[in-house]
Amino acid sequence: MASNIARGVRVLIWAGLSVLVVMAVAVAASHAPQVDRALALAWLPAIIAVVVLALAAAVVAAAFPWPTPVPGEPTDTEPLIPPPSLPACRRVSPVIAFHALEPRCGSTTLAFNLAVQVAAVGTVAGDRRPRPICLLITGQLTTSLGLDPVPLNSYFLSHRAIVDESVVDLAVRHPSGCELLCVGPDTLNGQRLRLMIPVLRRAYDLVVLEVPSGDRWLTDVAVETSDVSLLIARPTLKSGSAAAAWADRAWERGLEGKLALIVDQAAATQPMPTSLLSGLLHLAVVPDDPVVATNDLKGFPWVLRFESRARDALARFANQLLPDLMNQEADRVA
Amino acid sequence: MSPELAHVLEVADLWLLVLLLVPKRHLGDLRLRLHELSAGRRRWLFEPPRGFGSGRPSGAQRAFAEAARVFELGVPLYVAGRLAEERSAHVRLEARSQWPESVPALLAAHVLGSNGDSELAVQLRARGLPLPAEKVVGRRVEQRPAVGIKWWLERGVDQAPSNPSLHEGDGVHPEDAIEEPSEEPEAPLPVKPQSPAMPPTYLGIDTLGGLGLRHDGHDFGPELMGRPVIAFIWLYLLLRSLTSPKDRVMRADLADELTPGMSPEKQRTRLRNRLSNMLNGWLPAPLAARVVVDHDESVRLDLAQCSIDLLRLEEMAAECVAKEGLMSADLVDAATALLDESAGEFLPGWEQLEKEVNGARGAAGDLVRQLRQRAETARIDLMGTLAANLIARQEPSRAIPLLEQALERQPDREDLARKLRAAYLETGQHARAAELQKDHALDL
Repeated sequence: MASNIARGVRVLIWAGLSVLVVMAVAVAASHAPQVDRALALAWLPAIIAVVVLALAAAVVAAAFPWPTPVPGEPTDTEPLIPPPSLPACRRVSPVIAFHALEPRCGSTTLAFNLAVQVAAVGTVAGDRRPRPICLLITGQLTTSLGLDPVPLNSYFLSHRAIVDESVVDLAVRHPSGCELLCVGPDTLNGQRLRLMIPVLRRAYDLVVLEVPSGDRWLTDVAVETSDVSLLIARPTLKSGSAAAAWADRAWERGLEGKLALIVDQAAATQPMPTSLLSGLLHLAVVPDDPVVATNDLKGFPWVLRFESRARDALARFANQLLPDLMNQEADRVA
Repeated sequence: MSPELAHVLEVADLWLLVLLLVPKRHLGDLRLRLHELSAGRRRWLFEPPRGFGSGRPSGAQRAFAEAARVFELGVPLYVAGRLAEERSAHVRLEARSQWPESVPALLAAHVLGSNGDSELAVQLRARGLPLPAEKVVGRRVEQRPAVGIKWWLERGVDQAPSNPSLHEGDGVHPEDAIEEPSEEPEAPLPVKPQSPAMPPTYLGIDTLGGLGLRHDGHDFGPELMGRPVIAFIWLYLLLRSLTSPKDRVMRADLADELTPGMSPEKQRTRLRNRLSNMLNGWLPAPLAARVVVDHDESVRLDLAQCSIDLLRLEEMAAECVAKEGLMSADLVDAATALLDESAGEFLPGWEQLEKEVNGARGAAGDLVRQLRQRAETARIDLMGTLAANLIARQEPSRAIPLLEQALERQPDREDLARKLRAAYLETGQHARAAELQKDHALDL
């Protein structure tokens, strides 16, 4: 709709401009012999050029007719997705933390699909698939995946002072090869996270952590213990103001290098607020994709769907974020 | 034809040429758009032509839509854009045709249940691709008996630094394993025969490697362990004193810990009887004298004039760490001796006692684990400082075994990894230093 209006305005402006220019030059030619002579010299080559250009356009249009749209092919305006610029995690068993800047911004689904992408197409030392673990906050997606926050909660109630290797047994293996742990609303705190991360790092090749928002201590510990913290935003002013606050704190504490902004659900019709794009060094954009919502409802990782637009963006940022785990095979498939 | 009309037509002709050449769109991101198109990541240069995807547009509608694009983009950009769009369509078509053979597509079918585990394995193996990772099983890390510090120090330069079995095995030297029989976790709280010099009025509490309660030359540990319930109460109070010295243990908490799941009245009655027994002869007098029942319904252990090996170990570790590298010979001797004495686990066999008394349903096990971790951290700190001292005294080859063992027991200690790397470099073991740097992702 907005695109059609913009197109109409452009046509009007150019039509008005054309009338004005033609009339002005025609009047000038009537009074100035030099202009008259120049027009007399130029009109024939101009006609030839117009004919040639029109023919070229017609030939190209005829040579490449519109294809029949295939399922998943975009029929609306696609947002322009800039190449991601994310820091590379090269530590053994890196920890990636996801922080949502506003509700329903897609942090759970991005975390889950990143883990699936790594499990599916990554390799460790070129000979085996990585073992990622993903800690997801309980919600609609975890319900669709059949995950339960109770086991982890009970574990922490019975292990108050220590987290041992048995926490690994609570993780549920997804058929893609990644493992999932469901985190209840008050299950995690800074101390528990600090105890749990080394244990998870010993057992897994990648730890993807969705950090519950609202607990400042937990957030600080998550930023401290993770290699990269991804701030998941939508192209809204609310996310913009939250991102600005994060950027201030990151620069104050010298953490700007390990923070990256992921703008999810980017659409061509919804311009990104400038406040969202300033302040942080690293940025990646994930396009709005109807495939995401339908697959999340089924608990299916959309990163395994060819027709998903978001898949390509996620694969690109996974390659950049985890170059050691995501190898050439991932590039080829993506 | 009037001259004015001729002029208008001539100018219109020229203006039409300009319109066909000049793009009317913002071109700041044109390069990115063309790049994304040629890589197949976009389908259209700007937006799809009007009418695309909505049913079957007529030829006239298509021609009109294309003409609009021609005027909007200008002919050169239109031609370039159409060529790039065709390339994008080709790339996407090719990717689509290859997709069913790709790993994500096979996994998608597997996740949806179309192919089972075995079928997926066959498909992936046929393509020479690795299988998805299996479920990770939690590694049961048992607290292993620590190796005597003397053996590590006597190990020397030539013996084991390059012996890979130290990394692959359980870290226990076979000879030591024979000479120092492993503690039996089934035996409740083995008694530790140690007696460092201390005043006779002091109560010596040895918790590492076994229980020793020494007073005036006599060890009351075995006597205490003869009465499991009494021993449980006394040791629980000791645990609480060690973990939170300022906290009071309320009778209700102690009763709940002793007999969890009972009604509060029964819990209180049993505890009262047990405390009465403890203070009236069942508990050896030097131990009973330490139990203080306060008027505010709290119970505690009086640990004044006590010498506790765990605290001695921690104090020694703190003192050595404060030296920041260079230590006196006396301090090194004392630290080495203490490290050797305190090699065992904190209260080994506690689990057996707890199981016997309350079915291991209480929270005391967490306290024991916490204290075991404290003891281990103190030992590792001591080993690290002894190693740092050796490095500072230009004896890196003697520091290496210490650091290797310390790092094996606490692999997350980056400070130890750095020291070990420095020791490797100083002894010319560059490959091992590089390997260590990679394993621990050490920044240079």
